Amino acid sequence: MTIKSAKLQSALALVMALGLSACSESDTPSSAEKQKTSEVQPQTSQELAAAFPEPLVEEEMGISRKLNTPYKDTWVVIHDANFNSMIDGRFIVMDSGSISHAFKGIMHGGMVGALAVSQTRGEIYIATTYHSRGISGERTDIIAIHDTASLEKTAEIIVPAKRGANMPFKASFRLSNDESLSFNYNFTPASSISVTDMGARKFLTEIPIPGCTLAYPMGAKGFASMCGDGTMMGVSLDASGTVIAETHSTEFNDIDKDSLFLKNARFGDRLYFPTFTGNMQPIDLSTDTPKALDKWSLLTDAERAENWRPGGWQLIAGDTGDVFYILMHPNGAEGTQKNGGPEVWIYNAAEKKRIGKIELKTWGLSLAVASDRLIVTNAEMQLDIYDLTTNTYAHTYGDGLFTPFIVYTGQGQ
Amino acid sequence: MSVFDKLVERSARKLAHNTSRRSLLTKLGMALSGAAVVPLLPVARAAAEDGGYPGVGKQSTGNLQDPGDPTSCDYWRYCAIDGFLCSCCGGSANTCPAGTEMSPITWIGTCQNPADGRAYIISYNDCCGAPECSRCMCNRNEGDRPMVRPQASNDINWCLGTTNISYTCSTAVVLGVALEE
Repeated sequence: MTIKSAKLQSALALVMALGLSACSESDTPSSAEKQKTSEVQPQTSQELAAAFPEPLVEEEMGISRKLNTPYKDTWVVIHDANFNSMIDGRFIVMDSGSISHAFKGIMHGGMVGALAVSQTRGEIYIATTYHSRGISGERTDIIAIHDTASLEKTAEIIVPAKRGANMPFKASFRLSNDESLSFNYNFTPASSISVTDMGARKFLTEIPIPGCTLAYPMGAKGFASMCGDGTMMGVSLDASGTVIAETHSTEFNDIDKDSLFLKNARFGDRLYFPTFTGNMQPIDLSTDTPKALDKWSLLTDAERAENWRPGGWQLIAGDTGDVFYILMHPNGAEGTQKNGGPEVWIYNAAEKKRIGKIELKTWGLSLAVASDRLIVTNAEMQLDIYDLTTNTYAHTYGDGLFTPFIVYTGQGQ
Repeated sequence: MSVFDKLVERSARKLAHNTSRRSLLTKLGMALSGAAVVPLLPVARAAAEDGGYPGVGKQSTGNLQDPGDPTSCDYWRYCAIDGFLCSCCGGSANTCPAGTEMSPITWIGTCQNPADGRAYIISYNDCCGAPECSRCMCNRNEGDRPMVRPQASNDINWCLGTTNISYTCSTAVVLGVALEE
């Protein structure tokens, strides 16, 4: 090796070492490192080298990381639909439990995609839309399949090019409860659900859901949809996607006076949908017919008089037990239902009882819960993380986000 | 019963809107309208409250009966709009910018004109086919309902039935006077 190449090697090693040190797994410099840094004075190269008799080791090139699976329960997937360039949405895997090394990886999201995760197959699915020339050309709708460890796109399933082009909704693309099928919501403006066999990676059939919208998994292989006539429709399927039963609940949604939001917190077969004026409508999906349970109020009389109301985009999130979190704002009125709010109120769903409140550091627009972390999309389009063991602000995950309106758990919920 | 169902449209221009798809949709009660996807942002609304957006020049319709600034989120026609204002993007409150096409179907709102006191049916047609304009983001939700009632939902990107689904900006076209039945 010539002296020149040795120097080049050293320079490269230094650059790599600097780069790699920035992504090492230690959260903060050790006290020894700090001390060494503070003690270093301008010296000759020889004097500096004397402090470190051995050079840095040569490092291997071409390494791409893999993520540990299954994901830790504080990991989430941020959906940044990127509204200033909607064909270029992205899904970011992020650890809400730590501010250091929080960004784990990123996947392309196409045009307002939606995400689901299979626990049994270790796969992430992104249902989305592409045109062959960016914003123009032939339209193709796909379910992209990514490996949960490498985040690489390993395959795709082409589905009918009818996906609803709308604001991001979790319920626009869901796996069946047994993970064998997926349901894609279509809107042309006729509404239907595309059913895909996720094991065989094959589109099966399209089921019309006239007057209804979205798909909330029901039973092993079925789904329920919210309907414009105030009912919920239930569709049960067999493995081939053939309809076994099609049902409707009684009418429970007064869309004019007190509309349900289409977002919910889910505990097993019970879905909790808030309403515009501050009520909670639980729906039971334990049979093949959706059943509305007793509606109850989130508000005291005094709070109702102050027009406290739920509001935001993904305004509600539930934990894995019985507790849900909901964004609330005072002085609510017709038209404030997407405004978000300055507070998150905490309820025990089974007891129909409020158990806490969090005054947000920054106005919130969407919520997600991952283990003991509450992730709030704030009005500045950054993510504020709250510690749910103390109900206090922990840190902000920021930079590189555009419009992160939806945050999924690492399990795709 | 929906406020929209109670309203009847009285407009000499109604016939002008009769593409076959639109009339079919009208019959189905799937009223027309458009406005897309970008939501909430109280920030964006707040920015507009002092009369406009930073770096965007004010405009006037020149018609005393159509008062206000079409580049301001507070302009009367925008009572249920959700998106980038075409007036800031090379179009106007009722025309699309060059290089885009207007969505044939859309959703509607009912807004009161402060000059003549009448309530008008406003069609929020999206302009489609070019990149997002990204100027003058305005989101107002008076009368907005979830997608179970698509004809009253600004959560939908109405660039469907167009050449491609790319959303550029939103218009607010006067369809006619709204009257209680």
